[in-house]
Amino acid sequence: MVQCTLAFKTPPFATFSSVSNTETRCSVSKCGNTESRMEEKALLKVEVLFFAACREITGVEKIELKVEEKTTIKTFVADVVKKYPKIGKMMDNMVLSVNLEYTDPNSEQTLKDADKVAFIPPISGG
Amino acid sequence: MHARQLMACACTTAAVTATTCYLAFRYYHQPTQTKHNILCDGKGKDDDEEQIVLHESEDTILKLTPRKIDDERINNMVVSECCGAIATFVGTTRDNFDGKQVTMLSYEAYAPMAMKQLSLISKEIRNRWAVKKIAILHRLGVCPIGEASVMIAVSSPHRKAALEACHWAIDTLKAKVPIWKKEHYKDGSTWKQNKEFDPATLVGRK
Repeated sequence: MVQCTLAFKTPPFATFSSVSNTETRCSVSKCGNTESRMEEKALLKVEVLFFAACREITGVEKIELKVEEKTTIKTFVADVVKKYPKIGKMMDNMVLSVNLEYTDPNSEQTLKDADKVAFIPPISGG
Repeated sequence: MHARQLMACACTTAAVTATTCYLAFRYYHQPTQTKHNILCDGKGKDDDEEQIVLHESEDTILKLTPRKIDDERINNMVVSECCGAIATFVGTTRDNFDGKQVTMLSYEAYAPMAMKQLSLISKEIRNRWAVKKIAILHRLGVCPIGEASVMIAVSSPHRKAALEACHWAIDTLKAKVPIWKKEHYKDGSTWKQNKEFDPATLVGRK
């Protein structure tokens, strides 16, 4: 297979280390080949929500992320913390919500396409 | 004729300008609202705004609302001819905490999940106690000093069930419903944490 070096366009969504490059086709090749193909990995879309203190610290209310299949909650959280390091120190006193269910941030449960993950800082209703 | 035309043109221009200014004012002074929560905009409002009605049936009312909570109206909503007791809890905004002067509270919620948790609370109340009607309302956005931030009302044939259910409901709401309170002072604000919040219990590790 001919190796082509190209600059990939930045996708309109954030991707992480657990995410592979998604571009699969080269339109220009230094070696003259008009196209080649990188190996495609299936990616899942995950919606992430931040609330209250978490939202203020990240500066983000909602973001859509793409992750590889079989990414665990634990890995996903680690990647989010890499992206938003300031919430790292909050994680000991936070829980997640995955599709409206309270979930342990250290869970080995794997994510599915269209999952909604919310970072839940300490609640204070009432 | 020329003067009349000029007058008409001037009046039309003035009207258009006034309307544009009014619409711009309303647009830029709306509190920020999203599909998922209501954020505090720092202004107190109890005029007519869109309510988020979570669930309303003949016997159960669960609601998140930016409007002032009318405790008398809610009390009347749980009245039932078969019931001899109504127990209510109303939480109000206090003007002080830990020696600091509080100027107001503001609340936000993860609305779909708050709805789910309030629904679970009302179902569990019916599993445990013989109650007739349940109303649980929580204020979102700004809640000024002295006003109600939360109200729970339960009616039952006899008082023991209503009193116990009401008490259990507020304790469970504070532990499980994803609503957040921000306490505002003259020189800053802070997000609060309920002592009932326990991550291990919420995720089933306890």
